[in-house]
Parts: sequence; C-alpha cells; structure tokens
Amino acid sequence: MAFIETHLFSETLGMETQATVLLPQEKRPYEGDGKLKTVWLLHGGSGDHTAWQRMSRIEQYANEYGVAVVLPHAYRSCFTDMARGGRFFTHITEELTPALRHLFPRLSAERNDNYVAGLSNGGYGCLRIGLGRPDLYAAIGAFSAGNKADIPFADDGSPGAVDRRFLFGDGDIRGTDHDLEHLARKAAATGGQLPRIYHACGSEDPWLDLNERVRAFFRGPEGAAYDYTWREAAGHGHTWAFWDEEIVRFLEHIGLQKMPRGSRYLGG
Amino acid sequence: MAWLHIHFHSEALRMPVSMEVLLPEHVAGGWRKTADPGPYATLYLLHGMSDDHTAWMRRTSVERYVEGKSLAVVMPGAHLSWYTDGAFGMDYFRFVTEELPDYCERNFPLSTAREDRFIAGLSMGGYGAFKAGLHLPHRYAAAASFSGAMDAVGATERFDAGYVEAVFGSTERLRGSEGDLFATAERLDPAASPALYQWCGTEDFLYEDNVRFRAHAEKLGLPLTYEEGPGGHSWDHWDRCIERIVADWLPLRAAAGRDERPTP
Repeated sequence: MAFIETHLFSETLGMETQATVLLPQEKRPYEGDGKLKTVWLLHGGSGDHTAWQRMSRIEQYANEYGVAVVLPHAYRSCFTDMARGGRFFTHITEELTPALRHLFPRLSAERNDNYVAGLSNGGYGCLRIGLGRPDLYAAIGAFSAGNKADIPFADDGSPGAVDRRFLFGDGDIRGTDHDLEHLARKAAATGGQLPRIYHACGSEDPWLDLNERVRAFFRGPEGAAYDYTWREAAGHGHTWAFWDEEIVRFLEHIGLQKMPRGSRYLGG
Repeated sequence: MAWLHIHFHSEALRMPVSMEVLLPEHVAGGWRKTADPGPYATLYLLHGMSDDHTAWMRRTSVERYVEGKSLAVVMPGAHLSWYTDGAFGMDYFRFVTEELPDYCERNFPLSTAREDRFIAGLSMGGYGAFKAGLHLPHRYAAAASFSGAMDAVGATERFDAGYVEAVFGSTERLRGSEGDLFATAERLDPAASPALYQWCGTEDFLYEDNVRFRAHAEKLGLPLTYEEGPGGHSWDHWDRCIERIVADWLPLRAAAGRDERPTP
C-alpha cells in the first residue's frame, strides 16, 4: 500500500491544499490497467486530510478490500461552497477529482467505481457532494450525518452563529444547495442515476435527532427514488471507534469483498 | 507543481521506502500549471551520503526550476547504499533502476520511453547516476553528476571495513565491476551512451577523481559535457547545477503544446 501525501495548488480556493491518497500497490509484473475503485473519504469538523488515517485503520481496510482512498482537506467548510469562504464543494467535485485522476491514472473515472463517505460534518458533506453531483458517485456512506438546513439559526453572536454565517450566510438555507433535501429532490427530478445511500448513527449520538430527520426524509415519499439503508448502532456515540467500524460496513454494503491475503497487492 | 510524499513498499529491499515526487499540474490555462497533459519525462534525482529523500527539496529550489516544464522529478531515499546491490540482500541498484521506474511509470502520468528518462545526483548520488547511465545506457537518455564520487574503489579505503563489506562486498569485488565507473565506461559503446554531464568544484575533495574521470571519458569518446568552477562540496553548487541542467542541458523533448482538459 502506498501512502501518498499530496500538495497541490487549487485555483478554486486560491491556495495550496493537501490530500492524502492511499493507493494499493500491485505486485510486479504488473497486469492489466491496474484501475482502482476509489472511496472519497471526508473528515469531520475538527479534522483534516490526516484524520481518517490517524484515527482509524483505513489503510488496512483499503489494502484488504483493494480500493483506493482519497482523504481531501476541506478545513472547516463542511464540504460546501461557503457563503463567505472557500468553494469546497466546487473544489472537490470539479477540481480535485480531475487533478488527482491526472496525477494517479489508476484511479478509475467510472461512476460505478467511485463512492463518497464521511463522518459528522463530513457525513453532511458526503451527502452534499453525492447528491449535488449524482453523476459522479455510485454510493454515499454517511456516518453521524445531519442536514445543516435542519439546525435552527439564531443570529445571536454565539460561536455557532458566527460559524453558521461564515459557512451558510444569514438567511434560511432551506431550498438552497446547502439543504440536503433540496439536493435530493433536484437529483431525483433529473431522472438520472441516483447514488445508493448508507446512513448510520449511534444511539448515543448527541445529534441523533438530526440524523433521524434525514432518515425520515429518505423513508418518506420524496425519498422513494433512493436506495436508502439506515442503521442505528446501539450503544455507540459520536466516536471514532464507531466510524472505524462503519467504514468497513460501508465497503461491504457497496459490494466490495476482502481479498485473500497476499493475492494482488503488497504490504498487507 | 504537485508535490507528493510517498511511502511505499520495495520488493528489492523488502521494506518500506520513501520518496518525494514533483509532477506537473495540468489544467488548461491558469498560472502554475502546464497545458501539457503528459505523459511526462522524468528526472530521477539522487541524494548524497548522509542525506535522505527530502534533501533536494529542502536544500535547493528544484521545484522552482522545473515548474512549467513537462518534466517530473522523482527523489527516492537510498540511505547509505551507494546505489548498489549490497552484500546482504539489500538491492538498492535494482530498486533505483528497475523497481522505482516501473512503479512510477505505472502509478503516475510518466513516459515509458528511454528518451524521456534521466538520472542525476550529487556526491554519492552523482556516482549512482553515472553508474546507472553507464551500466544501463538503454534505459537512460541522460545522466548527470554533481561533485560525484567518481572513484568508488578509492573511496572504500576511507571507510570502515564493515561498511565496505556490507555495501560492496569488498574492494576487490568492486574493482572492475559495474560499480567501478572507470571500468564500466570502458565497456560502453560510445554510440549507445546516454548524454553525460559532470560538474565539480575545484576546491572539492573529490576534484582530482573528477578530473581523472573526465580524462578517461574523453579518451573513450563518450558524449560528456564537463564543467567546473571555484568551490567545494556544498549545496550552493548543487542548487546551481540542477538549475543549469534543467534549463539548458537535459534533452527535454518539446511539449506537444496541446491545450486539453482532462476528463473527470
């Protein structure tokens, strides 16, 4: 397995940015084109492009399941195009993706080979990205994910309110691209392929109620077009131990299988 | 450019290895990027004894010199190996000249043509670059040595016996082998040789060895560009050397000048 830290310049953001890429390493002699399914795996509010690697066993899983993993760095953007900050949704979908596919030609560009997943703010983020560009990803894996449009906004000068204004602006964000329900309706209306959705939350998560509102939408009439799977994990909270388990469940959910040890890739 | 820090596995060394890689960033238009989508020519840039894979990035402005060109730079870590297949199973020469280009050409948008593959280095890395170019002329179009340790046989007399044994086996085994640059140069058909570049400072402790090698190469009719200047064994000079060969000497083929967007 190759662990690659990438620094590249983003014109969308106007600055250098970083991403971690985990690339299964083939045994020589090489056969075929070596194309890899890819999970675009998003960090949470306090994380960066190193979080998943440090806090979970993601590199081990990537090797076992023979899948490439990309960990972007989206700072505190929730992976959206911020009202008063960087356009991270655009950066990831329109810039980072083709840039990394250029640097690493083994990353498959087929929709059916690409998945987006994330935790907490990245759980919102993977739905934001996967529903915002249903043409790019075959499946979404959302862990401890709520819809930011469901959070009541009071402009009271609190840190939360300040953050919210920086991210999403001042008004109601229902019906905008920051609203997951709006994105889901828009995507369904196109009549095109929709990503499968896997959504998991711990029973002890402080934001379980926000997760349940997302569930209610996708289980309701407006979500009927979606292949939506919900899992409430008894006894789990908003923790890395939970997300470390869920990423494996997601890989299995999308049909990936553990390879026999030492079969095609090195460094198991 | 895109700057990659890579940790991957070497089968030749049977352990993880590290490298720094610079790749052109391609988007049509925009500053700091190239219009050429590749595949790109590659310069394998080797560090010296006591350095690691980060030395070139930290001690020179190599990225600034390469930016805008259709050229990738690969900077592997090779520890204290003299770019040599050691006596105890650590095959650094095979790693750098076979496994590493295979891996890079498989995983990055790099050309697989001999015309697009170059190797250069400083000191121990200058020795390594010439060893690769002279011993494997069909694999490299150009090799450059900056303050290279051209006389490895002589160098063994300066080192601890255990170290010499681990790296070279023995002085006698080294003499006349592919690790003996003077002998390898004699075995090379000059018409098949890569383009060669050699620089050394006149106050460098390796200057005499460089002068001798130059005379030897010129007598053999090898395609050598030799330059020297005042100075010793220091990074100021290697920074200028890498700037010089990237700007004026490496046989970079002209970019196609295409203006293509990659498809997502």
